[in-house]
Amino acid sequence: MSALFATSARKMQSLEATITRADGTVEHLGVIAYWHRNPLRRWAWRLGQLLKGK
Amino acid sequence: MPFGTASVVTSVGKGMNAKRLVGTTPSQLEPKWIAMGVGATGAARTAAVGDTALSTEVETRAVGTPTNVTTSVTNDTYQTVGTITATATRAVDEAGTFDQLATGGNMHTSFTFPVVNLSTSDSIQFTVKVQFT
Repeated sequence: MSALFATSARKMQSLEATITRADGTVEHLGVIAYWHRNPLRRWAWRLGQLLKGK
Repeated sequence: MPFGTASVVTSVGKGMNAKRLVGTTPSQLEPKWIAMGVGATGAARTAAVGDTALSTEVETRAVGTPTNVTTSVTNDTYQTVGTITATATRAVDEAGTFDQLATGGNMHTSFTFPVVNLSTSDSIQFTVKVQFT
């Protein structure tokens, strides 16, 4: 069973960020880096970022 | 390779996944410590599987809170959440997870992303997720 898990592949990976400024203001940046095995999912995330001007 | 946004589990990180399965008390520590850096853009670096360190790491690593969360199948996702406070103005463009608090150690994940600007005393909470299938 261990071997099965060890050879498991990555399906999705993401990094989310939230900033709390020194004055207490909170800024939710959302997902700032993303990968998905499905290229359409990756494309959709990239498109979303472009539409947000990032 | 020019700078670009990317998310990878490093080659070392894949080995860490396997090593965590061995032994009643695995000798491989969990990769819960989160680091951030400011050097990816300047170094024209995009996160890649061969990464072993950030280009220019800054600030003390966050001691992440690791959990298993569910994305598609119960507990299929490793998540670690940690917060880093800037001690100076920082243009953050890279991050990663490591198996120790001190600088160095084994890099499990590597991320590069558009610059996030922090001022002194700003803090940033990172949530790292890796889903397996």
